[in-house]
Amino acid sequence: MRFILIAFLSLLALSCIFAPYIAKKSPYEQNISEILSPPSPQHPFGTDQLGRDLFSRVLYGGRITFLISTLSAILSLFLGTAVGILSGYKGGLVDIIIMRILDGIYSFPDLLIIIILTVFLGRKPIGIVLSLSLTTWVVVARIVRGEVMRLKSLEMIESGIALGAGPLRIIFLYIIPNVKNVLITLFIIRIPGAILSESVLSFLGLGLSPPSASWGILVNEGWSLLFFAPHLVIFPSLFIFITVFSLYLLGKSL
Amino acid sequence: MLKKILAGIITLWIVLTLTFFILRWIPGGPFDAEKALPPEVKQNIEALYGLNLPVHIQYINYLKSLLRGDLGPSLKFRDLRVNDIISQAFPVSAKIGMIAFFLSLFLGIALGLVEGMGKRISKSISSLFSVLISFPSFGWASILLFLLSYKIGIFPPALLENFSHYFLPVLTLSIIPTAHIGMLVGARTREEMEKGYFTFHRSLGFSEKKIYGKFLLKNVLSPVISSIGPMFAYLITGSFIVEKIFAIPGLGKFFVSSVIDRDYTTVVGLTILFCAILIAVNIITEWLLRAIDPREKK
Amino acid sequence: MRHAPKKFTFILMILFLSCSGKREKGEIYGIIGSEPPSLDPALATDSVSYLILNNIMEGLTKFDENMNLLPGLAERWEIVDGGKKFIFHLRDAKWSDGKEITADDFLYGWKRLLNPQTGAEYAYFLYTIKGAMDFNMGRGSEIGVHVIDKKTLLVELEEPIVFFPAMVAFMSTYPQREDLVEKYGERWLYPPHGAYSGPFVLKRWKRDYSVELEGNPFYYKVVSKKVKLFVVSDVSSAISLYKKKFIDYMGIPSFLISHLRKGVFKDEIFSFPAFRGSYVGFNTKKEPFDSPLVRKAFAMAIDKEELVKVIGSGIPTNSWIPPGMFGHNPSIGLKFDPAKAKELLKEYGKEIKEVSLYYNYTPENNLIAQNLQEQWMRNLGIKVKLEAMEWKAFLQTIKLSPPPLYRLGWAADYPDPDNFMTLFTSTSGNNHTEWKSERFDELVRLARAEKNPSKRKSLYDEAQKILVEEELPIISLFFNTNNYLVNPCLKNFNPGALDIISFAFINKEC
Repeated sequence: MRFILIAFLSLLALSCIFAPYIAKKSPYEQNISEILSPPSPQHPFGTDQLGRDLFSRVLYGGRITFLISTLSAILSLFLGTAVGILSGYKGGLVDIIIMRILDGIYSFPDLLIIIILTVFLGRKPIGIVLSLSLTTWVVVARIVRGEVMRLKSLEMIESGIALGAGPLRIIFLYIIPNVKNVLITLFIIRIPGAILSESVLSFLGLGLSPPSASWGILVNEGWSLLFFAPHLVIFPSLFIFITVFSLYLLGKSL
Repeated sequence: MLKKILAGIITLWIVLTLTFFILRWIPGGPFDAEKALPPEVKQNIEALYGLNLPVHIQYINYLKSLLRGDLGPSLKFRDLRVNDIISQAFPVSAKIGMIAFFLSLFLGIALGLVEGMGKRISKSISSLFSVLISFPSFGWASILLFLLSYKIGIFPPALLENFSHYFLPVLTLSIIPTAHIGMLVGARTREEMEKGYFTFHRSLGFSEKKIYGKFLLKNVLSPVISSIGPMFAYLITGSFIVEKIFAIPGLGKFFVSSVIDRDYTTVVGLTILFCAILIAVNIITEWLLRAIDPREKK
Repeated sequence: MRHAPKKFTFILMILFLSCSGKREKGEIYGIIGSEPPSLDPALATDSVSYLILNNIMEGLTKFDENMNLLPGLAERWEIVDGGKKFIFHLRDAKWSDGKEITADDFLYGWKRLLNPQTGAEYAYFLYTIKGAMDFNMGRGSEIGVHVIDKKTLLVELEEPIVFFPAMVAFMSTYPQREDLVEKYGERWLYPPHGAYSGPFVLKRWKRDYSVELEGNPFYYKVVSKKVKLFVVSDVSSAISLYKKKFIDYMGIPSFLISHLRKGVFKDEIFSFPAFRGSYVGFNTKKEPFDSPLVRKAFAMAIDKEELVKVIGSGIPTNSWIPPGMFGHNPSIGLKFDPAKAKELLKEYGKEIKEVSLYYNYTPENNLIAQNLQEQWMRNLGIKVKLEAMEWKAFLQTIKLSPPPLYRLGWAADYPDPDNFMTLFTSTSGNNHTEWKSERFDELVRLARAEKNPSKRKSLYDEAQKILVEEELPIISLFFNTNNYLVNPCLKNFNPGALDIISFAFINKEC
């Protein structure tokens, strides 16, 4: 089962990466005479308001969606792991202070952080990646901290310390290998979370600057035409759903 | 307990201070308009709201009024105070949110228990959960709208004119929380089942019901209670997406629009509300956990 | 200090949401796209507030659906001193609580608008009145408005303005009740204590949800109907409510027009040109747009018909005064000519590196920007990058440091070309082009006071030529059309170019 999922997801990712070879039409070419046409042999997914081929927009959009969600998952994991290990390993006052700060960040309404970052950084991928990471790394930090604290009390660590290993060595040789599995699962689950959050962001009008488009932006663009040109919403939503679903299943099976 | 409350208040104070200053830092102000105001007119308005004072003085004044329980005037809705906005919009969001909360709790626990017990239907329920969380809330909103309002016109598509108008927004809000609670409950139930005491006690002749009540529920509910706090807070403060799609006069809409309009006082006020609820919920959660299972260390 | 009227009742109503009253026969249900921030005429600024205020209040004058100026609370007026003074004679009319509407109510209202302590955003609207600007800035205590007697108002202006009577139809100039303002402050118009001078009274206002209007028994032409307006910001939700026949009309964004025209509602679409336009602005001090050659090239490289097709509806234009407004002249302006555009660029000589088009992110602006980008690439070979900014951040950027290339819109407050042309005078706070022309300023100033229509028209013709043919600090793109879905049972639905829905004239007949 796991292999089927991995294979499927790889296929999806690869077709997005190799979009220029698969999608014959350009995602940017505007064709006024073909505005909003339903699916047809020339346009398997139909066209959008500027006459652009939706099939290629979805494939090219996949690149952006994967890029943003993967980057934000990596950043989120990195930040969360670093802080979680610090807090869990050191313990004591450091731990208490860090946990208080995490509580503070956690209490900040997500939407506020996201809107503020969008205003400051503009509608660039970096802004979106930061928004998505900053609102999720706290959870990662908490989980990692929990794991580290659990591991710390194991005999293995104590004997390592007795043998004279410094903290850095312990972290890299003992702790990280043991939290690896948790991290991988978290990573696999963070990606679909980021994809969904990104689509919500775009729905709120906070996504990337045109003409680049992620799946979320495509859904947002098509939303007001829901009754008239549902293909604009259906296809990108389908892709979001399938990708997220497969990733969640994969994460669960690990 | 007191320590927790104190810590909560400090967190609250830090959050509101950060929000207060960051808002005044980002580009764009409450009175920037497409038809630009002559500078003198703008000065008049800013003087009215004290925005021409140095920022730290504004902050101190704000703290003073906060201690009186006054969240200040809205900069966008010039006849309303932030307290008014909250007292009018919060009950709406809270009502819908609470119904959705209890619905999710009920369905989530029920489905989760069944899933964890390894009956034949468990696999389908597990898949159902995965499906439910794989789609964003506005996706579910449109599917529900399409099926229940459009095709079979039993539910109205928007507004809150009467009882039937509650169904779609509540259902939409409940979908993802139900799945999350269900997955959590399912995982814990499966763990408990594997512990073996179930079959052991069963073989001794105790009824399923008794075993459930005594052991299963208690062990399963603890992690559920510890994680539903934030969910509750988010639900009762209103979801912008659901409120926009269903034209509900709730707090979620006000929050987003006040950030976009740079209505400083409203943003800070609503942030304080959200934060306070979250902190209160955390404290209540801890109390509940201790009440249910005194030996559970946190 | 000031507490919401019937706060408790509002909460109760929303909490229990018992039947908000069965719908009566002939009751009109409509949609407003957002919650009005304030219904105090001195503080209101947006179009939703204007829509509601226009129905519950009336000013000295008003417009019919063809933008003809009609007497309002003033039954006639005299122009004195070549347009420097106006005398308004009020009709016999009462507020909705029975009190007489007098000239004092106008004097009080205008003074309140101009009072710096009120902090009114539209205070500048009455700067044309003698002493008003000083009064608003805290210098001086009197303005050029005098109450001759209870029914006669004398207004002195700073300089002659022939269209001043058209200005006093606007919401900021509505009369206000001193006794109510003293007691209730900014909430003086709110139910149940509000007093109204228009055909309707504000019966109930559930914030962020609905506004209910009912006929004003003391209005001089009594109407007896009810109107309920719901706040619905999502277009698809609004459409589903319309489909269910819950609401009788709704505004449609342009990009839905072509679809609706093909569907079942094709006979229910009501479109009319609006006094609203979209333009691309240049910062004429920043390269490469400091050269008129480049500006003209960019202008001639746009096929505005194509742009309008992409957006869905609108009136492509090369000139700046909209159709339906005095002074409109479609023959003025540079036509689409990509060959000539390329020539101009060659004449300019220097290479143009990438330029960025700045605008605020909305679905319609996204379409405009993407199509402009495509056309400039196709017709000029120039790559234009798109910078979609958040609304307030965009406003701040435009104000502090206008980018070389940006998109903005403009809407008229009253149906006079001055409203559109003043925009690009050197003293206008809304002129972000860094472009000045003494001649242009002079023409606009003269036109403001010119009584002879044909002389006035030629003044505007000459001014427009400077604006859109010779200098081009902007590229005028198109004028919007307002589009509505209207239930066929609704008769006389015609908001006119200022998009003012007057419910007094609309009847629901089935």
